Order: sequence, then structure tokens, then C-alpha cells
Amino acid sequence: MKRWLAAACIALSAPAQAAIVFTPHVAEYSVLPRGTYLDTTVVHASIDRIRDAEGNKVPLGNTAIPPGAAIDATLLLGRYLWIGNLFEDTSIPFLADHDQLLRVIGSAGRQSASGAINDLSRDFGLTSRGSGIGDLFLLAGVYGRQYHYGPLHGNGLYTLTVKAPVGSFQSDSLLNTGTRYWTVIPQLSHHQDWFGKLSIEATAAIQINSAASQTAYGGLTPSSPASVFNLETNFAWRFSERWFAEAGFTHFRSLGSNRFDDVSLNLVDQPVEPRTACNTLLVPAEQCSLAMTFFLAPVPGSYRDRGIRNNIVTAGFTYIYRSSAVASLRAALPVAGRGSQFTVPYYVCASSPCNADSELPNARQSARLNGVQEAAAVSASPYFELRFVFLLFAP
Amino acid sequence: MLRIRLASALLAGLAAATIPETIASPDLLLDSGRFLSKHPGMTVGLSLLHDPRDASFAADGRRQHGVAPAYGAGSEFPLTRLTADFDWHFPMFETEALPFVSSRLWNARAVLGYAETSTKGPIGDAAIAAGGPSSKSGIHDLDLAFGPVLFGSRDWRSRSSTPLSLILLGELRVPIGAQDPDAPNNAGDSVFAWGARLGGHWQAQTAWLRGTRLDAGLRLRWYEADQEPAFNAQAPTQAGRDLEFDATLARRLWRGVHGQVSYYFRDGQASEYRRIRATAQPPAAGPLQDSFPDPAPLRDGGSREQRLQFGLGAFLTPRLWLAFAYTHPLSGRSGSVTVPYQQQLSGCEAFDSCQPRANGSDVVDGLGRARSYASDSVLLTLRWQPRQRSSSP
Repeated sequence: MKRWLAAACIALSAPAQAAIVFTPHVAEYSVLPRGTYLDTTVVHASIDRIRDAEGNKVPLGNTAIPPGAAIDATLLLGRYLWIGNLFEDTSIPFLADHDQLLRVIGSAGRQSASGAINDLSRDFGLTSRGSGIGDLFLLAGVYGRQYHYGPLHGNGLYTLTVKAPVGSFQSDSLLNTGTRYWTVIPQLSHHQDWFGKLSIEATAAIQINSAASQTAYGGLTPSSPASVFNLETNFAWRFSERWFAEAGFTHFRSLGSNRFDDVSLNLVDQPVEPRTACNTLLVPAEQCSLAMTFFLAPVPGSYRDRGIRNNIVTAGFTYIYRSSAVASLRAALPVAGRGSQFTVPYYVCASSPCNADSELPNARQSARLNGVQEAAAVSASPYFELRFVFLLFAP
Repeated sequence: MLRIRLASALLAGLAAATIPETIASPDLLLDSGRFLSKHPGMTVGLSLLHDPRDASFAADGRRQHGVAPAYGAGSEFPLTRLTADFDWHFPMFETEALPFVSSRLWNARAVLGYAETSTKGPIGDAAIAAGGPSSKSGIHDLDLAFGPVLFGSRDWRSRSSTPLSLILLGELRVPIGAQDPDAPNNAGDSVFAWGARLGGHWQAQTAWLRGTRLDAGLRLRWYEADQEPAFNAQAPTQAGRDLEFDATLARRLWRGVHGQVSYYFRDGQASEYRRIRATAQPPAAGPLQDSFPDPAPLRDGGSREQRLQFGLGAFLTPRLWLAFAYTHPLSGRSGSVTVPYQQQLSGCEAFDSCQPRANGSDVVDGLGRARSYASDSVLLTLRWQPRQRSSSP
């Protein structure tokens, strides 16, 4: 059983994808001057702990992988932002006198597992590494009404984001920089500024996911990922002309459960030796003494987890250089959450092919598998974000 | 006159970022002016490289047809790559009067692009037979560099020319390039690399040498361990440190047409291979025996390459430069290891009775950074310098 649990590896995707669209920075949702902005963000994490379905923080791969195994993930984002008004010469209500924004977010990254995880993947005939371009995010929005009450200034922002699954994706890989499902994200955001010192950003959004056209890693990515609710806030205090200190909180949870219809994870080298069968599937001891080998196969079916959730606190600082460049560094620490796990029964057979017709009587065993990648895995390890914003053309 | 001055300034500003060695291949554009302290602003380059990579240097330095002779003759890793490079020169914190920082220009460079790879010949057939892809195309790794102009920029607000400049760069490769661990030929290396480069630029001032320029640089680079080396771990798990030297002599030939000749040398320390899973010609196992590679780490003899590059470039407009380069490898050496095999009784694990015995060996031609290619390559570069107001922070 241990080795099956060891499939509990994950991608950085959960924190990274959330960071792409939602994680607010200083004055992220304020009405910015019209113009074109470019910014890049680097996110890096070394993940050695994840959340199980009960919310416990557990080592990556549980006990089947030696201590110290980790997944390193680096994600690079490039964001293009245009702010202006396409409708200012029209009489269309609201749009004519509220600026709009368009944003394109592209990403690329690398996610790499340490040696023991790679060895385990090879046991399943799979690989671990993912690299290349990520999915593409297209965002359109409009600013809400601006208000001024003494030292308080604020405004709203209403946006819709579409994620196109164009990223690099290998169905045999534990880690991927792209997905194989579309996402539509309606988002409400708000900005407040107090005394010109305190900047508050808050946002709520729902990621509405389509069914996946392809799953990965033996079907341990959801074939039908649940929609996800996001709630994020960030407080930034300006303590000098150029410097800000920041603190924030991120919460996301799936609305319902992820569904796994394509589970095929299985050991490559079969038949399995009796001892291996005992260790991997907890076959009763009396059967372990038999000098026979077993064939294994997952029972086809539709499996569900209990959904995922994560709470993350963030802290960092921001420096503004020459009014045209902004650099910020942020650390994020997951404080509570729940990962994806689901139970899959396996046929145990004396001959191949292994299926319902050939399985041994009363020998069927169950394995608790972990969902992997963005929609299912929840990291319990901190990650770091370095962001650089560059004003390409002066407004 | 204005046109000539602009052209001179651009030439100074051209050749900004060197093209990355995403794959060990003669794909480095050794442009004149790469270590010149330029005026604040940005230069953008677009390069198209084609390298047939149909020949390589053996571990003993022999030039050989094919890139992986262990699989038989005729293997090729052709590569076509489109690369964009960005080079910024800018002052930093000049109003803060910080010692060293505020009194000079700083240089930042970024290089990214797309590589089209394929694999031909026996090694490609072997990859496909094993159920994997034979190559992986996609974006290549991102190279970043940042550092001060050590000498030659103190008077950047007033100077009209810079006869001598010296730039120190810290470098980082972010391995976002596409890579499939099952493929022998990939667009990306998938390991972080970091290092430093010191480069100088000199423009002759004497009358009979006027118009002659010299760039020379020295670079040290280290590599992260690769936890999932490509193609049955036939690429190094730990690539050895690289020491590189490059030099370019350039001169204006006629009007806006410039010629240059460059020399490049790389010396790579020994690379380590861990847990190679399969080789090209494994020794046959005895009756009722399983044969497998000895998992003990192995080290090759390092890699080395020297190449010569000829370039010709011209200004299409005062801010647009087009250059063609032809690169010819002079000599080299690839990494190679001999993998010992063991054999043991089939199914012995079940009875705790395994007694592995030696069972011959097989040769592995190190892939990835361990290979030094012996093929000639061509490179076309277009470089543009936008007006300063729209490109400088």
C-alpha cells in the first residue's frame, strides 16, 4: 500500500495558478493611469509536504519515499495590461465613463521531482518532470465607480477571465505546466486607500472548470475538475516614498468534489512478486506465503474525492523605482488545507489479463490514491514570489 | 553625419545579448560590441539558427559522423531555433548617491525563444521503440544576466565614445524549456545554471586601426543536478562546470557593412552519470538470468570545443542591423562512459538470494551538455534599437 500512497505527489500548480489571476499586490485593483504595462513574476517553491484528505500535513509520498524527497517548481509569468476606454466616444451607459482593462497572461515553468519520486514514477511506467509553456489567461474588465470620503478613496473592478488550456501537457507525467480543461472566472474586486498610506485590495472569484479532455499520471488528475471559489485580500502600508510592506490572506476551496473516470495507475512489471504484492496491496499474510505471483489492475469506475481547500498567509515588500518600475518580493505560507484523496479497488489475479473475469475470489484490494496537479493537490510547503512590473509606454 | 553617428552608436549597442547555449552546440552569436558600455536604452535581437547536428566529436577528439555512434552510424539531432534577446543599459539609484551603484550604468539581459528539434537515425528509432518520443520541441530555457559596467560608463551623460569598457555579469538560466525525460533530444536542458561573465570591449583609436573593435570575455558556469536525466539517464545527472573564453575582432569594411571573425573555446569538467537504466547494445544475459546496468555513478572525461565564426553585417536603417554568421567547429571532445553490466537469477528477489555478477559492459555517448557537435551552423540575426524614451525605465 505504501507504494500506492507514494503516488501522492503534486504540482506547484495550486499556488501558482491562483497567483496568476487572483493574488493582489499593491494597488492592483485601483484605477491606474491609462497606458500599457508589462510585468513579470517568478514563483518558486520546493514542496516536501502536502495535505491529505483529513487536512493533515504529510510528507510527500508518505513513507514509501525516503525523507527529503521534494518537488521543485518554478513558474515564470509574463503579463501584458492595457488600460483605456474603448467606448468613451459612445453613449453606452456605464462603459462610456468607466475605463476598461484588458490583460493577457502567459506563463512558462519547470516542475521537477527528486530522484526517489522519479524512481517511483518509473515503477508505474510514468515520468515526473513537466516543463514548457503554461496555459494562457485572457482577462477583460471594467472599473467601478470611484468614491472619495475624506482620507478614504476607493473603487471596484469587475472582470472576466478565460483560461485557454494551451500549455505543455504530457499524459504520462506527474507534473505539467499546462492543463487540459478550460476555465471561466468571473471576479469582483475592490480597492481602498486610507490616508495615502494604507492600500487594501480584496477579491472574490469563482473558477468554473470544464471537463478535462485528457488526464495525466494514470488518471490521477481529475477528468472532471470541480469549480473553485477564491477569496483573497492584501494590505500594503507605505512607510516611505518608495517602499511598501505587505500582508495578505488567500483562501480557496473546491465547490463539490473532483471526479476521476480514467484511473489506470498500475505497476509496469507484472506479475508482481508475492512480497511486493503484500507490501503494495496489504495482501493478507497467509496469502503472502504462497509461491505465486499476482497480476493487478484497477477496477474501472468513476471515483470522487472530497474536494480541496487551502488557506495561505502572505507577507512581503514592494519597491517603486522611478515611477515606471516596481519590484516586489513575497513569501506565502499555507496554514491549513485539505488535499484530494480517493479510494480505488484493484483486481488481484493469478493470470493476465487481469479483470473481473480473472480476479481471485475475495482477493480484491483497495488503494487510497492521491489526486495530482493543479485541481487536486494542495501543497503545505511555503513558496516565494518575485515580481517585476515595467511601464512599457508612459500613459 | 547624423546617420553615421547613429549607426556607430547602434553598432556599439548591437550585439547585445549573446545567444544562449541552450544545447551544447555552436549556436553562440559572438557579435562585436557585446561587452561595450552602451547608452541607456534597450536593444532587441531576433535570431534564426540552423544546425544540422549530424556530426560530433568523440571522447578522444575524433570528428565522427553521427551524434550517437553507440546506436550505429547516422544519428542526427537537427535543430532550428528562433531566439529573441533583450539588452538594457540603465543607471540605477542615481539620485541616491550610493557608492559604486549610482555612479555607473548597469546591464540586464534576457534571452528566450523557441526550438524545433527532431531526431533521425538509430537513436531516434530506439527511443520510439521504447515507447517514448524521439525529440521534444518547444520554448527553450530562459537566460538572464545582470551586472555593472565596471569601467567605461562613469561619464555616460556626456561622453561621445567609449574606447574601453568592462562589464561583469551574474548569470542565471531558468530551465523553462520543453523537455521530455524519455526523449534523447530536447529543446530545454531542464536544469538551473548559474555563473559569472567578465567581458571587455576596446575600440582602436590610432589612425591606421580606426574602425577596428575587439571584444573578449571569460565565463564560468555551474549546473544544478538533473534529477531525471533524459533518455534512460544517458544525459549527465551532474554536468561539469564550464569555463568559456570568447573573442571577436571586427572592422568596418565599407560604409555600413562590417565584418568580424570570432573564436570560442569551452572546457567542461567531467560530468557524472547516475543510475543509467539502459544502453544501446546491452550484453546478453545468461540462461535464467536478468541483466542490468550497474547503478554505481560513472564519470566521463569532460567535454571541450573550439569554434571559429565568421560574420558579416550591415545597417538596413540607422536603427536596424542585419547580420549573417557561419560557425565552424575546430575541435572538440564529448563525454562518454563505459557502463558495466551485472546479471542475477530471474526472480531472485522473492527468495533473498540475489548474487549479482559482472556481465560485460556497454558504451554510452553522453547526451545533452556532454555532447560536442562537429557540424557547421548558420545564423541570421536582426537587431533593432528602439528610441530611448520608449525603452528605458
